[in-house]
Amino acid sequence: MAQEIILSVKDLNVKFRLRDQELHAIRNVSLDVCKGESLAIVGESGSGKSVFTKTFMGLLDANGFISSGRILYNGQDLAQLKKEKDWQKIRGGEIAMIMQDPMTSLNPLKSIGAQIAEAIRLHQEIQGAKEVQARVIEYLKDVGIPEPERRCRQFAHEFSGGMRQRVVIAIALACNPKILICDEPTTALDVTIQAQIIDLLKELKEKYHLTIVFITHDLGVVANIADRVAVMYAGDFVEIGMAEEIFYDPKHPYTWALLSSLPQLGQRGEELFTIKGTPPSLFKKITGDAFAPRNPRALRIDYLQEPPYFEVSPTHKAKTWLLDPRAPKVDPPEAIRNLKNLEEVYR
Amino acid sequence: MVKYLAKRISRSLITLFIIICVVFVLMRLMPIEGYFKNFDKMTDSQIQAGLKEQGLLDPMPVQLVHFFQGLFRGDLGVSHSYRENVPVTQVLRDKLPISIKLGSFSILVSLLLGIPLGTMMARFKGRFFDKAGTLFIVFIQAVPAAVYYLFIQMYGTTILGIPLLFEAGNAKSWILPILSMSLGNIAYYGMWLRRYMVDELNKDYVRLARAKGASGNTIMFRHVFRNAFVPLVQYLPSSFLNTVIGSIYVESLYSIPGMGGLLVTVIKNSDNNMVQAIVLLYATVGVIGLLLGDIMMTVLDPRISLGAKEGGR
Amino acid sequence: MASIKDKLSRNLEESITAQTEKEVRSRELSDEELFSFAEYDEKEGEKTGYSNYSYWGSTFRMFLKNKGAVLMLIIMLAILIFTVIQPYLPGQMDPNLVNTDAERFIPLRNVPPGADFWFGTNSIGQDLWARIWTGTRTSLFIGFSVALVEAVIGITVGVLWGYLRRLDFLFTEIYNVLDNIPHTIILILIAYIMTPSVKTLIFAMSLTGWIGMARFIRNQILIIRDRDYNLASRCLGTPTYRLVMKNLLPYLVSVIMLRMALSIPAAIGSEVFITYIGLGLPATTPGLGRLIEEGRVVMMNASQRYQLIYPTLILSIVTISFYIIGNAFSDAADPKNHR
Repeated sequence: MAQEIILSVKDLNVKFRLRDQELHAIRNVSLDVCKGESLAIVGESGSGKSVFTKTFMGLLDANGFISSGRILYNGQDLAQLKKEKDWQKIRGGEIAMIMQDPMTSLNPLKSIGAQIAEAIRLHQEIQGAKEVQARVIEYLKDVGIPEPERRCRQFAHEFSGGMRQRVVIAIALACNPKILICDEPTTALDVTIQAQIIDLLKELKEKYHLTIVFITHDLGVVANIADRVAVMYAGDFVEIGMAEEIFYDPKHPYTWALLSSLPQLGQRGEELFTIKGTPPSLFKKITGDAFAPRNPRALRIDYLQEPPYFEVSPTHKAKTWLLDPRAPKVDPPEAIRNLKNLEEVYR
Repeated sequence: MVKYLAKRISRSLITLFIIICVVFVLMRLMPIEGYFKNFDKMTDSQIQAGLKEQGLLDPMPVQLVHFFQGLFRGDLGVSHSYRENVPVTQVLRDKLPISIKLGSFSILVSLLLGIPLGTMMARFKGRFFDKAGTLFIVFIQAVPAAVYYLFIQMYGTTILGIPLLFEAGNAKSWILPILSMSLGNIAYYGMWLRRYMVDELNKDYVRLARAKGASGNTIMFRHVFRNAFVPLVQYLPSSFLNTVIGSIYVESLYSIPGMGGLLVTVIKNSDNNMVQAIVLLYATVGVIGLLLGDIMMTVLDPRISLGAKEGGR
Repeated sequence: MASIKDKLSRNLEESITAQTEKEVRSRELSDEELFSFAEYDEKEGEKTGYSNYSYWGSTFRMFLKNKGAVLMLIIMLAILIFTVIQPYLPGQMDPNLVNTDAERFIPLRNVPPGADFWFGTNSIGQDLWARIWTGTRTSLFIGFSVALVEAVIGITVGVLWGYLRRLDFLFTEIYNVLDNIPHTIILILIAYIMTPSVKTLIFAMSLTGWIGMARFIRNQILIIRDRDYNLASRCLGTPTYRLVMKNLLPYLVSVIMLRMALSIPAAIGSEVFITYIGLGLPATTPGLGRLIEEGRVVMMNASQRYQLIYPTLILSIVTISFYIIGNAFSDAADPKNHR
């Protein structure tokens, strides 16, 4: 595995203006992405996963903005980039993105070949029509589309959902990126197709030496692809660690809750575990641990003061007062204490 | 695709048939003065003889069959009061070229100004250009054309010194009629193009194109403009043909010897056959316009060829 | 592997020290108390995720934010009220009375605007002020009637069209035929056949407008009937009429408002056009169309131009205000804009 840090986010804050109010979507977040790893960012919908990665590409909606913090990439602070022109150098060529819904992310009126060719022309030296066409076909082959010579002349509506997602991946590859952000790439797909797409991504990661940042709320996908996992709640990472550490030795009550709610862990005849309540409104200022109101075993201090990160291992840290030496001992829920056969559950 | 086209064309033919029947029947409800030049001075027996001669005393279905027979021979009857006993088709043949010429120029002007207007408004959405454009569009759409035409004529002739009446040989006298006929279309194209482009801009594929690193202009023209223009293309034939029709007022205002002015004249003269022929001509033109629009859409949008679209628009 | 761990752990150390160095605000509580379990209230967890939102409240707020539209609304209401009360005000003249000079008994033709005749007189000596307000009244009456007829017929047909699946084909074909004929032509034809009067004009104008409305309502009903959340709701036994009342009606109100607001200027414009081609209202019941036509005849004469400018001014204010209010209202009623 590669050694260096490719992207480093420091104390990032992102806000949105909405109905005359300010929404604090990303709250003082720091995270390093290592070259060549697969990092999964997990969390509920609305926790800020997508917003967080959109800042890497300058793709926040018009009413969103970075209020402070740095995003260091290749000696450059992306948080400072203002001009579209500067962003165009980053987008695609350095960092590419695959979006959630393959049904709508392709231009309906252009052949898929033309859409891949556009990416090649933008980011690669190849310019001649023949050479570009040859590359298009190569990429289509790489993403597993049969009969690429014929299919590249077709339009998006002639492809199934899974095939469209493969095309979207081909477009991202054609940009020749270093980092590939996959924003819930399998959520809109059938379960059987999901596994195929995940396997394809793993394969392409090796072939093209990609760093993959995976956004998902599906822990099954995480177990399958991720080297490292960052758990996001209410715009902040509550726990970061290697995949094994998160699955076998989770420390934050929110991570416990997430893992407990896996249906695969349910026992016959018992009710499935659910996390009660809803995530906090980000319009309001959050004091203490954001998860406290939904945590049945929250400490009094959780309501008063924000916990710091406590180091569990050199690669594993969690933001919960439970790790403070003064805290009472609280055991993780029974159901997740034994996740040993997780591998069997997913593979 | 062939199946869809066949279906679409046959529907237009049926529509046309129904329109012809309805118009024909309605016209029979008209006072009979409109079939004679000097109705007031005629005796009853003369009138009866005249009606009989024109076949107007036959039962309605028979009249209708006769009418269709004439239609296929290219015979629409004769004019009564406008130009006595001259075949209607002859009159129309004299008048049509100038209307088509004016209509074509005006559509050209509308496209040349309307497309940049809409594109720029979408590109600078919410900024000054967009606001100024909106103001123009609101004004043109809210104030009836029949009203601002008058002001164009009034101030165009007094301030710019352009002749009040149209002369085919005088290029200057074409300016005001074409301007009048274009304004509505400029506003229309501008408004819809802006709206479609703004819609397209919010779509996921544009987000993907941005994520690809395409520049704002590339996205605007290669993706958004193209896709936004397709739905507009559907209306182009109709709006071209409607411009020719819309010229009823303009042609009459500037005494342009075309179709539109003719309709006003024959209505004022109660020349039934002429009114009937022109109304039918316009209706046909409208039907053909919509048909052409749909066909153009089928050609441009790969998704429609499956024939899944229903309802014409 | 080792070096990642080194780096990550260094970062961890840094961030932990940074965090713990921050002052702990609630020093009053002892550590023991701080690290005891807090009381857990399930409702507390639910509370945090809501924001207050009311559809009509937001619609109203959005509309009021649009200063131009509010101004137009005030102007329009003022004009509406004035056209109704104008004949009952003191000193108003009969719009059809030909004013004559008291001494010489000749008609006071083309008198420029002044103290006696605020907007002047027309070419036969009638008071333009009185005629304009009478004309506005007539035109607005036609406009409102057309809008109302269109709405009533359009909604009725549209609802039937959307509900009765068996009739869908028939209605669709009728729509295709009717919509294929240029509306101007229908208007001209009907006006040509019937004797001009307020009633026939309303009839001729309503004949075409309801089609679009009906089609629109039908599409909305189909969409609402088949949308996933409504399908789900129906599976739970919610009757369709309730779905329509809850989901369709609030939305429809705004669309109907927009359509009505737009068909009033359109109707007024049609009246002007129809009058010009000689099929309009008789001179004794002047609409704005008649007044503009009278003004047009004298417009090339600079001193009599006021006879065109005053009616068009009033007409433009009316149509522009309706247009802007309609659009502003429909924008405000669109939940997507409620932010």
